[in-house]
Amino acid sequence: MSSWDALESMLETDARDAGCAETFELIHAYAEIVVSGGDPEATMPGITVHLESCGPCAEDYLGLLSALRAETDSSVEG
Amino acid sequence: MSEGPDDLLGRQLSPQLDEASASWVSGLSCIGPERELAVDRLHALLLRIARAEAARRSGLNGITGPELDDLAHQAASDAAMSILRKVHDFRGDSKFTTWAYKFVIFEVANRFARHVWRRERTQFDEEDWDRLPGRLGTDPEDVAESRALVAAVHEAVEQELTPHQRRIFVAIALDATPLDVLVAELGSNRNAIYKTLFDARRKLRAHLAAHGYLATGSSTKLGRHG
Repeated sequence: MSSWDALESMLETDARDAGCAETFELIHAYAEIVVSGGDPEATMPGITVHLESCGPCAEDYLGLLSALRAETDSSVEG
Repeated sequence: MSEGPDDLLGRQLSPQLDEASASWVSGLSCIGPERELAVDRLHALLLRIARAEAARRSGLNGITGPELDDLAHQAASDAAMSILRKVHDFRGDSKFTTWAYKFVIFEVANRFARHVWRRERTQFDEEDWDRLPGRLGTDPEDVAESRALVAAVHEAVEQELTPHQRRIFVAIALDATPLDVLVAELGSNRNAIYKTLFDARRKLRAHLAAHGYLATGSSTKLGRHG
């Protein structure tokens, strides 16, 4: 990737981006759909766009997925 | 950015609560010993999640041992307070526990960010534009291209951004300050900083496209050096 391509990527924005506040409002529903094998992008595209662009929200989302999967694992084991 | 949530899933739904979630809401909403039991149970649940999340992030931030456990306790307590304030906002579009987890994970993130900010006390106002090519992963041997890029972006920042937008863009794009650390430094919130950065990126891109450095469309590049 050239430096101009990298700059383009850095400055790229998407009008569908839901933002951090809206993502926080819906991330629990989004994560449960993912963990249950569904695809939340169809109903919550703005959240998907945001998670691809916002590092802190993406990290929180990974933490939420990790908690839900640990919960599923422990219920299967128990 | 999207301003309205009507196109999204959550609040259009009004599902019945599952039995366990209804029990949580009922216990946390009543008064007396039942509520105390529910609050204790909530705190224990949040502390377990906070410890797991703090451990997951510890490798990224260098916090370990008692300090990490203290951070988890603080995050669990703060999250419990938030949840007790907002329990009536729970709409049932997930299990209650999933909804609760997001609060404590967010608090763990906040605590880590504040810890990093106190430890490093980053200087956010410094503008070293020569850092930009490195931040973009530019080949250091391509000096001419780097100079052209730095000059173009610097000019766009000078002409397009407000002082606040400039400060946020410089801190994140040049100084590599983590967004949550900047939130802690400025006493702001994540959404406000992200929105400021979003607007700055959009304005800079439009300026660079208008001056022929970037494509006016989404991908094709135009005469960058002309």
